[in-house]
Amino acid sequence: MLSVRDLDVTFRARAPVLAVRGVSYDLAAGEHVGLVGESGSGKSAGALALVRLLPDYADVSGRVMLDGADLLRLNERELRAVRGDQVGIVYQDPFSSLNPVLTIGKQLTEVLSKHKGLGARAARREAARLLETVGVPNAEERISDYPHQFSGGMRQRAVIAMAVAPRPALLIADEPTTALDVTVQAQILELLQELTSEHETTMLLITHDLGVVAGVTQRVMVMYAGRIVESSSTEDVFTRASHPYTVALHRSLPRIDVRQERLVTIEGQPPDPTQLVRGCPFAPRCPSRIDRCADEDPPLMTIPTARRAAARGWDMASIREEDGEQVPGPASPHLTACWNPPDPAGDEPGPAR
Amino acid sequence: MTAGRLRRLEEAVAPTRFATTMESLRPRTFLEFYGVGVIVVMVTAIAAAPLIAPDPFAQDLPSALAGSSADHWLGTDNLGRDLWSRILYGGRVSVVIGVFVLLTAGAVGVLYGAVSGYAGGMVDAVMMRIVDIFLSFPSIMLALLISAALGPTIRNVIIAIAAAWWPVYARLIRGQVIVVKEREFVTASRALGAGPMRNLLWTVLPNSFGVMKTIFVLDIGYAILAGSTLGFLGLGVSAPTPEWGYMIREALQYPTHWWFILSPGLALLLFVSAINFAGGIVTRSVHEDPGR
Repeated sequence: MLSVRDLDVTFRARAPVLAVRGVSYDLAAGEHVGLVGESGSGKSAGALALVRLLPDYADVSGRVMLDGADLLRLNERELRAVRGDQVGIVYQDPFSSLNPVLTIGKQLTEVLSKHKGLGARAARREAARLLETVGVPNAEERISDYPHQFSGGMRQRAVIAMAVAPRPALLIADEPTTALDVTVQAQILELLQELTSEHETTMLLITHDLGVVAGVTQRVMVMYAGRIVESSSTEDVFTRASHPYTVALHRSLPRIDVRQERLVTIEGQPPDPTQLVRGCPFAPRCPSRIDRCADEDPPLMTIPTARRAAARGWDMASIREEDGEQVPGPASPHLTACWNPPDPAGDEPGPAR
Repeated sequence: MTAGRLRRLEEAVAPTRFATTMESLRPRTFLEFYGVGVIVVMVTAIAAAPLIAPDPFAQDLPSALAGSSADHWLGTDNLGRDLWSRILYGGRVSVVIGVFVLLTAGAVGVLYGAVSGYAGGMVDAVMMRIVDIFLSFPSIMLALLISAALGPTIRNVIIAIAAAWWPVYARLIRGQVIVVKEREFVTASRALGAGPMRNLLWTVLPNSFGVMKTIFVLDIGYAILAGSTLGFLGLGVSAPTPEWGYMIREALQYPTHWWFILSPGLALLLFVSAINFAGGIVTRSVHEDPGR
């Protein structure tokens, strides 16, 4: 349904920021995929680039095929028809993503009249129904409220109502729960899950919180320094993480069953995004790095191949041959960008279950 | 408690948005009360001029330059016309100039500045250089030139002052638009498929007006002053239409008849200062409710 190839995003600045480097992935219709990474890993930039909503100083290249059309080649007018209609976006902070001077109802009816061609009266009725659907109590009355009269959770519900109103095929949720408190987080995730399942909407859920993707997604892609370093079923990523970075992430999660004096951290810093990294970007912080990591960036490959790569004495050509254009898909294998991934079967150094 | 009951309770306690706005617009300090009071009294008197004052054009040469009397409350001018009446009718001219200059210059300036700021880049650079050219003249100079070229009618005075003033609004609103257009709800609106026109008119502009409101109110006073300045220099509204600035100019020839020069001068001072004091209310209201 959505197919991204070699997506590069560069922010022009005195020192250009290489936010996303050669990212490729596929999303199947109705699939829920998590995009996980720390701040600055390029996850939001990569997602907003899909519908070209980045500021003017961002250069985007690659291919983004949505139902046969390359979104990066469309002109502004054609793109406008895609935005909202086919691709909906839920933003991180519902306190800043609603227009403060228009009522919730006005903002919703605008979307409905633009995308569904509804008349004023019908749009208003539909808006109230939608608000009801997303769980705003007394929708009929609250429709004439301004955003500042809504609580954070209610606002995010309204934002979600706007995003799903035109029934988009793809919903991009950019850290939809980060600005909300924990109890509301769960409700919002549940709501997203419900709405997207109901209409078989594909959802790309961006977050830095592993806990968020656990319940909602079928597949998870882990980003580090603008690259996807691991892509697998959600279960695999949680129980058999294969990239050393993912493993380290799991280790640094606080655990409820173990008494800890200090949280585990990953030593070092992510690479400077203005510098072109030679070799694997995680190598300097990686506990299982080998000499080769400093020179070559490992491609995404299936786990057995990666394992054999070490055994075969790093024969690059044979890896490329075997994996070919290995691209993750709905039923895709467990992919990792590491020559020497931790053994998923063993307890070490994979995360504890 | 059910949500419905909670809601009703909230409604009983919380005022509506309109009520909140009206509440924040109520005068609080002495100067604000004074300002609003003077404006209300003067505007009412000006509106009711035909009922409470004689004909402002009727000349009575034998009683020219007379002092206060039962017939002529503020005395008469050099042609024996009733000063009280001419002050009230002159106020009409001032109010019309003040309001229409603001509407014209405001509409042009806001539209121009909004387009410039929203478009950005080369378009913005070129449009703002044009504004710079306008701003490089002293505005009263520009208004004088235009008024002199067009001829002395109320309409032309409005055009002259508006032409000198719109660049100020254009620059002001441009700055606001540039700030607001980077806010997330603007991108969110684009993400929902909104085009540039819709975005500018519905999303960016309504959020860019905060500062403008204050300046608009204060500028009504300055527009009235500018209109009177043109009148005083003989390039404003032409005789025999009563106009405060022109009346002061005429009175200058009769310095011994103090009431002649004092009446229009005092009217101008009272009215413009009242607008300034009342303008403080709007400033405060905007500060108290930064969401708008």
